[in-house]
Amino acid sequence: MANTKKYWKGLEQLDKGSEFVEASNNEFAEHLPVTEFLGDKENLDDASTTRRDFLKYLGFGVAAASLAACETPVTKAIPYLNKPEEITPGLANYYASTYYDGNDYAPILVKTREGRPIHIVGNTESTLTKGAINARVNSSVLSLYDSNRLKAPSIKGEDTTWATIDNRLGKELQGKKSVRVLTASVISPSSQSAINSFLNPSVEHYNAAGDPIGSENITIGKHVVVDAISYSGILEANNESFGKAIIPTYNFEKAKTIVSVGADFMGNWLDALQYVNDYAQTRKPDNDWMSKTFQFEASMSLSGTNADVRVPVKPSEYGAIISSLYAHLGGSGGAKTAYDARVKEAAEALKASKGESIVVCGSNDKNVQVIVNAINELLGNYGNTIDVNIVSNSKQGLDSEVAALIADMNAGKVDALLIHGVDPVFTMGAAFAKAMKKVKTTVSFATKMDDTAAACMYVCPSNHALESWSDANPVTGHYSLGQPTISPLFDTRQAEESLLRWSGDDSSYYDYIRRNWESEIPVSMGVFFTDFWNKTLHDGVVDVEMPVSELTTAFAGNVSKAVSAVKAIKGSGVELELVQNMAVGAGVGADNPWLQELPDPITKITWDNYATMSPSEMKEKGYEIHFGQEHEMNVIEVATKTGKIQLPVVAQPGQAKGTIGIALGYGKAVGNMEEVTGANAYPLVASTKNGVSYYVSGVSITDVELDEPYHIACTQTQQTVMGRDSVIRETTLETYKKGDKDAYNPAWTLLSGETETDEHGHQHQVRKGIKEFDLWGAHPVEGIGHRWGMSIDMNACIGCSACVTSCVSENNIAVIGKDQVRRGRIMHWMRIDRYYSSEHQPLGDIGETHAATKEALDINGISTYTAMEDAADNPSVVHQPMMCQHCNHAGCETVCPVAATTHSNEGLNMMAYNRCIGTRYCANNCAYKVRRFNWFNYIAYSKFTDFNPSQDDLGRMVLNPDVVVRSRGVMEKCSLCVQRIQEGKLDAKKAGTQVMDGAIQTACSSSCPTNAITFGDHNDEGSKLVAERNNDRAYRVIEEVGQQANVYYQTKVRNLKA
Amino acid sequence: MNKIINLTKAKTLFKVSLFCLSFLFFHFDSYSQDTEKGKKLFKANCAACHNVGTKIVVGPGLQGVNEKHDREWLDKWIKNSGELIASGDADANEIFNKFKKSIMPPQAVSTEDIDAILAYVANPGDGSDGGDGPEPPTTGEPIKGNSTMMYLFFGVIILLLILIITLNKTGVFVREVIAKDAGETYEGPKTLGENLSKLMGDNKGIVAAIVIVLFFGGLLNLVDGAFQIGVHEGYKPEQPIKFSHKIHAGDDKIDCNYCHSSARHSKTSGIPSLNVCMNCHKAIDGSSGKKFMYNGKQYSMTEEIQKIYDHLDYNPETQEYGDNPTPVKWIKIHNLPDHVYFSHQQHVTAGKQKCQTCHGPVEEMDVVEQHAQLTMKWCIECHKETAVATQGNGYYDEMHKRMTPEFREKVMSDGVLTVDEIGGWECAKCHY
Repeated sequence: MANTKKYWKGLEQLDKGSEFVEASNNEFAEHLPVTEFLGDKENLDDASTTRRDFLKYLGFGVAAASLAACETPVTKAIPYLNKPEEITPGLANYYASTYYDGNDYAPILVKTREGRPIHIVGNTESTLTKGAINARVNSSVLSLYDSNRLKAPSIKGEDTTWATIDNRLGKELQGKKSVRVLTASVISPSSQSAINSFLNPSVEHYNAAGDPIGSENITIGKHVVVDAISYSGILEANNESFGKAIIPTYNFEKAKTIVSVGADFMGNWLDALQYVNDYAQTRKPDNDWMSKTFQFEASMSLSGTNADVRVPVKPSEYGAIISSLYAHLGGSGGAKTAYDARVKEAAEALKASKGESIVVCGSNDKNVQVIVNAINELLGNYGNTIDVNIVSNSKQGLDSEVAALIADMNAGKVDALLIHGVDPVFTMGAAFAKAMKKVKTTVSFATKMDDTAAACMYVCPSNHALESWSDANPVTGHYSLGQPTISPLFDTRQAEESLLRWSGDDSSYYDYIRRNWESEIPVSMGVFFTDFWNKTLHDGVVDVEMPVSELTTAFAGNVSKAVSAVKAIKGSGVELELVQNMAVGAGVGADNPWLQELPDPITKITWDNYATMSPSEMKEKGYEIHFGQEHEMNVIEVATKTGKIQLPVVAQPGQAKGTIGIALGYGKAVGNMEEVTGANAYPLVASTKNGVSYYVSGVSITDVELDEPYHIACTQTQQTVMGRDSVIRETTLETYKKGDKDAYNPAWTLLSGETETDEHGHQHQVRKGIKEFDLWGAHPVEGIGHRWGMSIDMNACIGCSACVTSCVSENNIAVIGKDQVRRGRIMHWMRIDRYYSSEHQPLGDIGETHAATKEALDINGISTYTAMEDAADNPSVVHQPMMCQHCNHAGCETVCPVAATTHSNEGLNMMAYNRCIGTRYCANNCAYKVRRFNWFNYIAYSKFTDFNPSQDDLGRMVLNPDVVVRSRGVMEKCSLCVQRIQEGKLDAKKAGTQVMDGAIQTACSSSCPTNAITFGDHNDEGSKLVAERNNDRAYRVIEEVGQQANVYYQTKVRNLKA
Repeated sequence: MNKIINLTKAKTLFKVSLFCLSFLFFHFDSYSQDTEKGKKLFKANCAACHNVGTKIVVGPGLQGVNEKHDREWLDKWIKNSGELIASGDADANEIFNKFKKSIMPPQAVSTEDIDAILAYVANPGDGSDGGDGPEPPTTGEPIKGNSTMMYLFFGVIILLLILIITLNKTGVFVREVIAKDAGETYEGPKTLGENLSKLMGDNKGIVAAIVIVLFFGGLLNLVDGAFQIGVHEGYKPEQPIKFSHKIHAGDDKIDCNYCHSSARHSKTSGIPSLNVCMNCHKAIDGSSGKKFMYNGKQYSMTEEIQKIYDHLDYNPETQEYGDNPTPVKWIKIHNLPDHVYFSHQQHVTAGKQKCQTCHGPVEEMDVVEQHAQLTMKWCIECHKETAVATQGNGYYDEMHKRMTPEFREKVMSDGVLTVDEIGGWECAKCHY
């Protein structure tokens, strides 16, 4: 029938039938030793505390506590001496700024309260990102308040003053001719200009009498760019194909067919933040067309989970698949691969949408990229969906130049090395560290004591981005400004300002940027520069008509040579793919507690990196493939020619057989933690003659015996959905387009108990709509005042998890650490459930699913599920954001003994923390398992000091003053950002208007890069929410229970045949 | 055996008497609350014309008024003095004539209120001036009402104890003598404890009744007391600068919003920054050397204004600011717990409430004190009574449209839409 798929949350559910069923029938995930405890009469009698003692202490405790409570401390109110005009205590200010960490670029809005930045959202004014951000962008506000930031400049580890640094460095750089400035890709024109003027100072010439006779610019060194993740292959391929080493811009909004081979363009590949919103626009099934995505990849990436067709392949086959695709499209040379049917299918789809398709590949091999270019040329995509004239500046590092730098350093040819925005000792390891020793003067501009800074002589800490002025030119014609939202917290100085100082320019960097803009950026006729500048500073972004230097040469790549070079790529043994995940990225998020605690969108693992492997292969090797509080993980040593690391091995359905995947960027300490989190996988990156490669063949894997069991903190096996397929509704585009709602999203009916007789004289029970069945009377929120709610489009949600960290930031959610997460106590108010699904025989009519599921889950009937096992090698994936559903007939409200959770007249399920006594009945009775209990006082208990940012004065500055910080023993959950609702209503009351649709945004909806979450008022007939709710795709999760949730979901539609 | 029992009884008796004593303390507390209530009523209703001393303000000072007139006369006079004068009462006419035939306006106060006011007048405690006299009162040590009563009480208790002990001794002695005379030895109870326990043993019912009454009375007091924990009504701390709201808001009629400008736009009312002070005090620099009244004492304007200058490191001679300013650390009076979200703009701008509704007659206060209880009960009681300021507000027009007929009937039956009827009693309106 309609929903012929089964969804399973983890391998336990799919695989370990009886144990899982038993476990899910238990109230508590782990065994509680109640009977043992009470049965142990001997010890119980011996216990020194008697009941009387207990009562005495209790009595004393109550008396002491009430006495202590009587004393009220004197509170001081300290006003400003001279209040800044724009600051009103209690009101938030938003400043447009820019985020750029060397990898991700995003125009942002920074929310500040009383001068403290506390929250970051995307700037929707940007025509480039359209407000898209990821979890790393909104979590960067926490890094500002990291008390482990460098607080002052130092020389050889000794703290010093800026004057001393300027003085000593000035002397050391005097007359040097071979200085190197090593940075990440510089997208800031002013920063680039500052580097240039540092490297090309003007020197005054004097005559014999000492009078100046003129000046000339001399060159004292070179600027070298190294990207943490190299895209050198694409740059060089474009150099060969079009005569310029550039990264083109992609227009996914126009792409009807997308074929990606190992490129996670929705996650971390190139300028993903510029693609995701555009991509989501093409996933609307009601539009004329919907895009179709093919993903060929080894490890399951975010793009892989969202692709319509995903094919697991080995990294060594990426080139062959590209060649084969080229051949299918009419090119020459490519041979058939083992996946020919799928490649052909992709080729057919591409042919059908010539000029409206995109082919991308994640390989850093120039030859592979040349063929990719040839395919796009063949399809006529250049000038339509791909633009090589409007280019992206975000990746500029060439592997050859980096190799040359290391060679120069080793040869002692480098006098001084200044490093900004990169951590090459971390990403390039011993090779770079060794070469650095040959350089006499080394300078780091790091904000934290990273591996490179520790190896540098001079450490000149730069400001955090939120303390700095900046500008950016990420793409031709697009500019943005970054403004500081707080004064520098420590004695730090922006790197650019240091460079200016050392090149003899005493102006502030703000003045420098402004001057630079005045001279470089063309302003429309009749506009004063001051007005232009002020408007840009206010908006944060500006699009400027730039004279584009059209490429004269058409595609001129040597395809046949590339094809034969690609043929030579041979994989051997186990293949390793080094990837980035959504939390840590290339490493920027590794020391951020919010990001470490963010469950990976696919594995749902926190606080670790690990090797992913195909479950069936793991079973062959006898590895543990399940997660659980006490499940001991197998640890393996992964060794390549360049290095070896020890990591736990984790089952990843969809991982190509014969491959493993490891996330880069880990291996840094969080907060004051002694041990690093995860292991640094950069030493495994291979160097080939074509540059670095993130695909390594012939990896050796050996089992490691640890003294202590290794556990993994995974957030998604604790709460099962018991196989109910009313949680997810999914269909194909073909079915959807037929327009029969009952085929994919039927309304719920239940047997009413009444009987009727049909025309044949048979008696049967009447089925009625679920509205007929209710324990409660109609709720007064229907049609009265507001009724807040949400609609979540599962077609748009790509699972990136930016909403989760945004919620953490908005609602002061506690970081609890790996150990507590493992115990199933994660505090996140919203989670993104990831369900793997596989095609199989339907269990029964959708209305009878519940009964059928029960039967199937019976130990004998579990064989029903075994059919899915094969599919586990390549499941399709659904991401479902899940938070409090604000049920109108909520289960939690009925069971609270103290009425701490009640229903508001605006449809909200309210939670009064101070009333809560912590019985946890509500969490037990919640059908969606979205309630979170404070097991500890996370903000004070010493067990959490090392990583909970709220435990130090600096880290507390990030807290949102409008939301209370919860203490131990109370339940908490999503409030639908009630503080924002209240604020929005008040604004409307003050303005004397109704609450405008869209004026109130929750933290999750405002941070969603694909606008998958719509917040609004169900009683506002004209609102977007009502339109979505009345859509044919709209359904409510486990609606048959009759809780009447205020949150709706939109059925996921895949672009597939029925 | 009998003796042991007696001993236990004596112990019980001791405990019971301690318990009783504790209630008496509680009662003291409630007594002082009565004068407290009287003080407030006096300030609200009488202080404009009367002083609790002997000083004539508009009407006579009220010291000793309880002795001069009987309670009934006072009741009539306060409620309607005109009627009393017209009735030909001699005392009334005398006062009427003495004060140039101006009638004291009838006061809308209940008999209990009058009791409270008179109790306060009889025992005004510290700050007895009422803050209204043009000169500070010359009374020396203010009478410490509570402690005097306490001494008195202890004196009486000690006297009673001595009396009981003496009586007991005498009684036992007398009985012994009588027994001796009769040629017997007295075998009844000898010590006070033994006597008492005999007395109680003979009257168990009465003792039980007393214990029960005391126990429940005590419990009631305890509960009442517990509700006062954390309530700082009347909290009136000494501030670092003797800033008088009475002078600024009362005499000079400066709008509250001038200094507390953010009350209209923000959650907080905002403590004005010193640059706001300087808007006026750059000119009003206190060089006139004028004195002003503050909390019943006289202070020099020069000194207090100088404090602003010191904090700003400002030199009034050269009119230049130095580079070493320090903030003023005011003491916060109205403290709400962290788990309450109170928004001034909601109440002032949207709700159109006057500042005085919660803060009391600030324009009459030298030292601002916490006027309201600031308890949740106080909040919700106000939300129960106060009508929503819906007039001419498009937001409420829209909300009105979205009412079902039944709901409209329910909330509008009494003609007013109160705050609780639109959800002002719900947890998540203030707690999140």
